[in-house]
Amino acid sequence: MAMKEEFKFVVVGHVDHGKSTLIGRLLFDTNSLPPDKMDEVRAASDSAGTPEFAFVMDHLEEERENLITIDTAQVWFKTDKRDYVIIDAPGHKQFLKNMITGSSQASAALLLIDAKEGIREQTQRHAYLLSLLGIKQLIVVINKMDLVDFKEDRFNELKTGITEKLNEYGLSALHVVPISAKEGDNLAKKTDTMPWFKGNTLLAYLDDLKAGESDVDGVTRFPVQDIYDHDNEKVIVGKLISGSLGAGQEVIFHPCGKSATIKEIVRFESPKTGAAVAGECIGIKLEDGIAIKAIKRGEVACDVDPSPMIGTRLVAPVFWMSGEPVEVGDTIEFKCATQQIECKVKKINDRINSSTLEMIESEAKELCDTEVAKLTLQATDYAVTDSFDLVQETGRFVLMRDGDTVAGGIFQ
Amino acid sequence: MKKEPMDRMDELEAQSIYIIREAFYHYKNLAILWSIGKDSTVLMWLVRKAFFGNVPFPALHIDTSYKFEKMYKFRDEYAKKWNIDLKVARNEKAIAEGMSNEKKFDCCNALKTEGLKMGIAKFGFEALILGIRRDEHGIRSKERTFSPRNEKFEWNYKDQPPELWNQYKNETEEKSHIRVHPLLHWTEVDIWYYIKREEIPITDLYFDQGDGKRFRSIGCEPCCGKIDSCASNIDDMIDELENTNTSERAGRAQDKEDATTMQKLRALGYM
Amino acid sequence: MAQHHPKFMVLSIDGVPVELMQRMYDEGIMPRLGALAKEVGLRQMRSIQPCVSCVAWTCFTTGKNPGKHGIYGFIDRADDSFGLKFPNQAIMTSDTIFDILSREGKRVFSMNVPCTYPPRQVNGIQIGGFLAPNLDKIAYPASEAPYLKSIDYRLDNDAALARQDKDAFIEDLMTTHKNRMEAMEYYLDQEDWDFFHTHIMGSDRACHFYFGEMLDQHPKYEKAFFDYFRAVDESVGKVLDRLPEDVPLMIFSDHGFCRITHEVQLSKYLIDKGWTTPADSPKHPIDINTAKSKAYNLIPGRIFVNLEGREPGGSVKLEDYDKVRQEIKADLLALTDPKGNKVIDRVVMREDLYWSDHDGKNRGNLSPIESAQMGGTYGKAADLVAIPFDGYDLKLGLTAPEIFTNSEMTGMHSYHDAFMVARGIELPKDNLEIMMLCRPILEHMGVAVPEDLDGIDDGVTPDLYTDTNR
Repeated sequence: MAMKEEFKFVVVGHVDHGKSTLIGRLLFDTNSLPPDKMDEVRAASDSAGTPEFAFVMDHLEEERENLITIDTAQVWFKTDKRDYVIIDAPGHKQFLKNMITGSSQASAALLLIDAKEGIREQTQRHAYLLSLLGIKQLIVVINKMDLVDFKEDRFNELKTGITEKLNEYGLSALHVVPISAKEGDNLAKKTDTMPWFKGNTLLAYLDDLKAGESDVDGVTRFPVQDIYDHDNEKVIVGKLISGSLGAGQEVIFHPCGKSATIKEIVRFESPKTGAAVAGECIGIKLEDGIAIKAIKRGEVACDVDPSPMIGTRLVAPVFWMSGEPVEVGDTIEFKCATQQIECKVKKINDRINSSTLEMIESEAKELCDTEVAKLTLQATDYAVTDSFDLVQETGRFVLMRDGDTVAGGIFQ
Repeated sequence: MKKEPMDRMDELEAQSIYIIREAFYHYKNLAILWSIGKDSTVLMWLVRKAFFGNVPFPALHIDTSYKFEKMYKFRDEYAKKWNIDLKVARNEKAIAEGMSNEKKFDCCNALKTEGLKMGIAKFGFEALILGIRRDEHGIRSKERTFSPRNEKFEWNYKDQPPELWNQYKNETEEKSHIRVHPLLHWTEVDIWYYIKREEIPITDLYFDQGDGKRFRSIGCEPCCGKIDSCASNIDDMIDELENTNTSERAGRAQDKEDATTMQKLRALGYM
Repeated sequence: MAQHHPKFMVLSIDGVPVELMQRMYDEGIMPRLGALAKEVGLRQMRSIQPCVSCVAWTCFTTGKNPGKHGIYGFIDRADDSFGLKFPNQAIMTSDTIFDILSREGKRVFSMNVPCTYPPRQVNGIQIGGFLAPNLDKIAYPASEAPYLKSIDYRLDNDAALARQDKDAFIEDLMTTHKNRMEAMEYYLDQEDWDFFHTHIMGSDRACHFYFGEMLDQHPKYEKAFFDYFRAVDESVGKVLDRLPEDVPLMIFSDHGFCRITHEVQLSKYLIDKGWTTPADSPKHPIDINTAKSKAYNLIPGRIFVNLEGREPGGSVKLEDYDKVRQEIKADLLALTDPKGNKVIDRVVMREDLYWSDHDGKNRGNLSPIESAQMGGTYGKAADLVAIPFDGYDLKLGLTAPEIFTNSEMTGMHSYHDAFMVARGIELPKDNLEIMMLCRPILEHMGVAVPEDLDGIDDGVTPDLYTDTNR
């Protein structure tokens, strides 16, 4: 009995641009609502007979309340291909911190724009924040096409506009799709209202997105989580975050620079054999006894070639999420994969108000709650990082103070 | 080298193992809360996987004295087999006074919550690993993976700091403890898939004993109700859970709600 | 002209008539509320037809007539069958003031407001109304449940107890009130709310079960009744003391009360007149033999035509729709009680009572056939509504042996005489109705008013005002 794959995505955009209707429609068209709710939706249709979806989202809470985690609601629907989880990120400013947490679990984002209203301030804000979280798979959904008479010109106008905006943040949409969630056009099925659109339905595009962030064919990265004694030998444990690792393979541990050969991949009672692939939590035993002494938590086993970035100067945009601001000169903990390094904040540049997206100042002394800035950190030890595009887990980090997460960022 | 991709079960398992190993790294005075039920036994199994067959910290069992006989047997058998350092905590005073489930809230409070407090105080644990899942009811919906409790066992769930990616809270203040939830992202049916895949031993109370009923969850005998089910093995169980879809569950729940509503409206003269 | 204020407080007291309120403060039973009323005025306000709490409160929270929000009573016919449905916030299609304010980033709190179960995801906390099944499901966020349980917060008074033992019910009234107020103070202290609404329901229960006794000066129950309202007044005092003086506030009820002369089993009357035929062993109030029924009755006074194409097994053809209604109306107006007094004051057709268009211009302007064919929330309205004289509480009674009965309830709802005490906000000068309140509150808080709200120009129901119900 095989379990279906699960794909999580988040829907962002201005709150009135039809998010609830879109979600309600997705559930309705894929028959993912319980039968009694399907009836309610049909019954609550307006005088033209169009089913009313907007309330479905609010009232799914009743049945989903036991499935809410991390302060954001989660909604399920399924296609033949896989199960979907929509992380419904709330749009209010106060919820930003929780939205970031919710979005950090998503594999893709739908950015919703109202065809009539166009690109709004909140649309931009969310796109910008998504870029900071490294959500790479982005589908732009131009909704309410019925309000603009399904005109191709308007769609193209918005498509060009949003593509430009996204480019400014280093993002690009995989697809830009016109739909009418209310009428059901181009969501689950094509209708004859937009014959000029040659692309697929939204659902078809969703089914095509890749789940899972672990790249089996990527570069090898194995951050050391801990070292155990097992059967009188040392076993290094951790999660293989990228690439693959097998017996006989040569690796270099960074930042200590020691090379070693893998003797054995250690698992317990596992049906898997042979090389480990990205995503697995394993133990490894090394051939070379000498290398072991230098290895501790925080080291990262990598391919001999190419190496990751190793340095003590870290520069990246961060999103500050604590009520207590950070100032130049402050000490802060940098956590990336299993590394935890004390750093000093050297510079705060390009400080931006994430509500208005306006630059507050280009050289700042402090950074406050919900603001974004490019931070320059001086680490007290070497840090091993990658660009987020290459390896996600070593390409993103959090900053902590007093044991709590206060900021997050990615290396672009 | 053969490269087989990870399926969803593999990913859930890997994530849980990662969390358990993180907890072990950061907290030296750690224990696993073992209620002998299916979730915490899956958790125990994952701990053994994480540490290659060992359970390198104690298991705490809060004994209310009302557990099923079969559960005690299961506990002792596997504590021995798996070489578990088992610590049993009981609110002896309350049990001696004959605390019973007449007033359910008080009973749970005295025997479970107080019992847990006593257990933690007695053994000085600074962190606890528990088998709470995301699809359980009530306050659990707001849990983080690493979730602090202060010395009064209170929890500030209103303004929790964010928890991003795999980076968890890793310090405790004095006198408080941290709860770790490696199964947070599992659902009930995930548990059964895993039990089946791994062939994890489980008490047969969960299955139909021949009378068309089974226990869906197992706690203290006086309070556990049976549900209608003919699932007598794991495949049936998975089938039942997958196909007792939301609408059936919702239907049953709604019928119950409607009945309550009718009663109320009748008393108020609206029916 | 009062200034705008970003905050607003509502303390609603269900079902208290304006005359009683006036009396209670004249006699010093409610001194705090009395003092406030003296300062800002005590006004009369109208409810909605039918004047039941779930309908009236939804009119308040949405600022719309039932034709737009879909809540017409506590029970409805199920969508595709002759089963029963219990309308609640899940099927209520409109935004409420809590939703609107939440979207604007305002912090909102509501507790115990009728028809707010299941609770919605507001920007704050919503503790639903009395039809919630238990405390685990009553609140958004669900994490409020443990606190509510810990203080023995009660979903509602125990009306079944009141029917058995009016003495024991006194304690229930007082304790339920006390625990609810404890929760109110707890939440009030928690943060600097923008919109805070606490609803007291016990007053409605007190009036249902002790109103007649109060009027008759029953030694024990009159005292119990007023002791309860003294306690309510203390709570009003606490709210006033906590609130900065410049924060606008409203204290009001959703309908009034009057003494019951008789409960009227209207379905029995319809059966006697040949409009309704019950099924062989009816399992619920509208379990009818559809082939032999042209109409059926839902509480209170909501009559539906068993219309072909609309009702499952509908037997009345569309072209006969209005004729049937007019005949039923005549029968209703002819009904007299055992003493020969007329029971029904007026019968209003649905197109004169409800509307679904934005400005309400449809009201009174749809033909019966047009009205009969409309779907959506408007389409769920009763085809005709019987408005009784004071004293005649219209009920169900599909299996009742007699039309006129009496029960432990001695008070019933009245339409025209709810009360309103408002400080720091300007309300419409004349003919105040409960659906008119949402708009001025939103405006006062500086929030854009949705286009489809009722309460101005055509969007009200002034022709329901007659001499007989002032």
